[in-house]
Amino acid sequence: MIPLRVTGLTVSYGRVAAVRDLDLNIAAGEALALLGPNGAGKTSAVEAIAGLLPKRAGRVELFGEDISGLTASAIVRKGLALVPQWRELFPTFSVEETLVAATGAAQGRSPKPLEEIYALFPVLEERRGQLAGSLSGGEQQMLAIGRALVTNPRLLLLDEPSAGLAQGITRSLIQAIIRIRDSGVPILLVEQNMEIARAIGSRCTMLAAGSLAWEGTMDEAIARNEAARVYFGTH
Amino acid sequence: MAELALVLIAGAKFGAIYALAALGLVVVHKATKTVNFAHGAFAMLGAFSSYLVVVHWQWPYWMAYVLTPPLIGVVAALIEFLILRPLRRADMFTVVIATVFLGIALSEAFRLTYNTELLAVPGMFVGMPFVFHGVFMTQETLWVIAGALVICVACVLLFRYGRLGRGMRAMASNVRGAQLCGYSVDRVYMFAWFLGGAMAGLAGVFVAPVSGVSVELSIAIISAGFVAGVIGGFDSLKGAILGGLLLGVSESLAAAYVSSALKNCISFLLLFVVLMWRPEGLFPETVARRV
Amino acid sequence: MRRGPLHRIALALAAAALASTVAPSAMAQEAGVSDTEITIGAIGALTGPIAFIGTPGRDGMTLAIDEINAKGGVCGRKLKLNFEHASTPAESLAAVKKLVEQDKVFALVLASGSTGAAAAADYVRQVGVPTYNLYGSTPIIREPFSKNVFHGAIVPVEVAAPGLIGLFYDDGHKPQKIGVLAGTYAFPQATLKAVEAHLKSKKIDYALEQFDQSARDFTSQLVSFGRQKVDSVLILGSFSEAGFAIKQARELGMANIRWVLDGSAVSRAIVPIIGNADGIRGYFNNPAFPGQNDTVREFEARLKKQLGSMPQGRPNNYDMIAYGSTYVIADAITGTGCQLTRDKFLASWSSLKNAGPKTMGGLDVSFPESFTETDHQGNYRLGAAVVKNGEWQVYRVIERP
Repeated sequence: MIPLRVTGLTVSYGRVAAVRDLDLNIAAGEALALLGPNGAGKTSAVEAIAGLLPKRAGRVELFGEDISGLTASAIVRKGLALVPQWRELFPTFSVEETLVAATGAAQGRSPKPLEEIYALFPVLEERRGQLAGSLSGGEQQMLAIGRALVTNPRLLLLDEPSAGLAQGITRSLIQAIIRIRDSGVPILLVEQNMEIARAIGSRCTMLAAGSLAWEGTMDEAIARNEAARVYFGTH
Repeated sequence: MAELALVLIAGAKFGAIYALAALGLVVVHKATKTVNFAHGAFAMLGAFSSYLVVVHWQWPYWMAYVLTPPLIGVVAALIEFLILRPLRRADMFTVVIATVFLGIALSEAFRLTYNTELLAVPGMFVGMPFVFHGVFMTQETLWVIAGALVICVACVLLFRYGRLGRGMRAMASNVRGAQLCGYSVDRVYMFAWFLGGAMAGLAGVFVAPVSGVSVELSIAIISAGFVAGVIGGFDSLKGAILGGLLLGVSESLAAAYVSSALKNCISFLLLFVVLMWRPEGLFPETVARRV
Repeated sequence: MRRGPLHRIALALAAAALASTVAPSAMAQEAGVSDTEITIGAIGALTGPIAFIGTPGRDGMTLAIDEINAKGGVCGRKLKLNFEHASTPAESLAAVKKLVEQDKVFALVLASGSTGAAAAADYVRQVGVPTYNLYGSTPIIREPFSKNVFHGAIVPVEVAAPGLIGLFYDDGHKPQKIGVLAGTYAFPQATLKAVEAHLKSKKIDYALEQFDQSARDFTSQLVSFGRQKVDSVLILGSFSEAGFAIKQARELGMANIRWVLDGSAVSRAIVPIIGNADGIRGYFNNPAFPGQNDTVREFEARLKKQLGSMPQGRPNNYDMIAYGSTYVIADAITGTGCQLTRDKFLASWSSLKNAGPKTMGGLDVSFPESFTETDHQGNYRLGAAVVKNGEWQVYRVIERP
């Protein structure tokens, strides 16, 4: 059974469609990059998959189970965790409390021990008593990923984890994400940076104006300079 | 000195009840961002439930304390489900107006079914008062002060360390983030209302022998609870408790040493002073973010 | 004999004379009076904070009217009650206008307390409808004197005040210092004015403390009384305010205080607030407290039968006053010799002596009322009441000073 199958997903804000009739598949152990320019509908797509945005149409299956009609909280409990673009942390919670807060979502599965999170992001252990609101941007991103991992997800959605971060921090974040991928958790990564996308993902799906523009492997995409065609309409 | 102690004890007694009232209001506001102006009516229903248990059915007094909080909690949760859930996407003003009129409707329903000025409820303890150097303290007073404060502290601990409390705080802090941690908006909102209702019900049981059951009780509780909550910062549980005590003691002191006619206006005076001096309340919850 | 023009004129005159004697009953009938019914209008609050006044007003009147009608009514007609709910001044005035202008009632009863009575005062004086003020103590309805406005069981504050102070001296008690604890709202303030005037004229030393409506914490006032060595306290307020004040005084260790309550606080409902309320005194507007003797017990039984079940704190003095007053109206109607015009009715009412339920076989639960052309206050008496074994009882009648 494949971890994620999305068919005919349509998301709209009022009468404006942000995502149109999108199909996606993620195979076991695979990391799929969702690429596309600003405003292509990448965030709308993942948030709709995670239940944060209402779907106009379409079907989302997680390991064969239809989760299209579930709320965001129910979807997390089913094992699909989203690290949202704006991290959506709780500023008044300490690092440790933030992680503990998510343990309840690992219903039926056992939550990931905090030690594993701290092993992945040692800086979080150092800052365990510090308030989330007082962390640096990179640390906040680590905490957001850690919070999603605590739910022991069967599928992880990452929405531009590198946005706004310095290169050094981005590099260590990529390493951590690769370790998560290699531990067997399939990943859907929203990214603008082709290099980061290639480091993590093997296949990619490109969106333009809410619709699927191109599908293939990352290597092929870079070799054929698909991004330029999709982003700028050149070829 | 004995006189001052008497005044302070009386202030603390009402203050403890105000604290309990404010706490329920703040719990609901913190988790759902709704100021529940029907809170006073919930407290009145709690006091009425106490009357039914103790006077009408003549059951043991402790049953009022055991039965009322879950009962009023369920009433509040049902109201959340039936009335406020459909309004969740409405603007703040609509929701607040809905709770105002809900409170009036509950009060009037009570008035219509029990067409009487006041229902008296005896105290839980009727034994001899404690006397210490001319300072009298009845067992009932001690029970109200200690009992209400213990429950306040228990509530703070539940909110601080309990899973549901954590869910409510997470929801208050970031609704999307809380959902991504597996907290269902519906369930957390409903639980917040349940808890708020239960606290209001308990405040009602504590206040029943002190004030009797009347429609005026509903207004007395909501106005005192609201003022105490605002003084405390409205999102801080500790602030609500201290705000309640501060309000009770200020009322009592002002009435004793300034003028007994000042009693009702002292709460607004206090509110005014606090808001002028610290507009965020005495115990603001917001933490400056480092950018 | 020839039937000349003179004869015809005489015949016409006779016919006209005959017609004029018949006409008033057949043609120009008085408002609110039909061949079978006399309509009486009344206003009072049936819901809201003063429903404990208006609801008994309606119930007491209904009980009396049912009894009167069961005995055939008055002047061969049944009495009919149109009771309008009104609690605010605006509602009260609107209700009175509706009763007078639409329902065209024969007599109007204000069973609404001072608020409603004050709101209706100017209007009823202006239209001249015979008006019975049952519960309003406010001077607005009482002054200036109006020939169509009558007052029943509630005595003017100038009469009540000396009566209240007198209760401090009953059974050989000698107050050292009287504390007056008065509500800051209209009703207690009116009494307070008269009480202070009386205390000053008698050169009695007193301490004054006040509280807001529905107050529940009296610590500061009581502490102040303690500081001033007050041993006797007069409370002007509602039974709930008085009850919680006395309860708190005991909690503060203030023992052996003689408590005297304004009539508005003399209610069965005060006893459960205080617990042991024995020895507390106050005045009652009727000669016996509910439960005190066979007459009032029978009244309670009849009222209970009518209502199905007895609400808490009932019957109260408002039930009894409304019942008694309805009989007073019936007496005034009978006194017209069944010439049911407004003028005859007002004249009859102004000459009533010892009117009340007894004349028509009702239960004498209120003081009998007498009126004159210049004095429309029907009753000047009060019952001095005390709590004994948890029950109020009237132990003497306070006569007009």
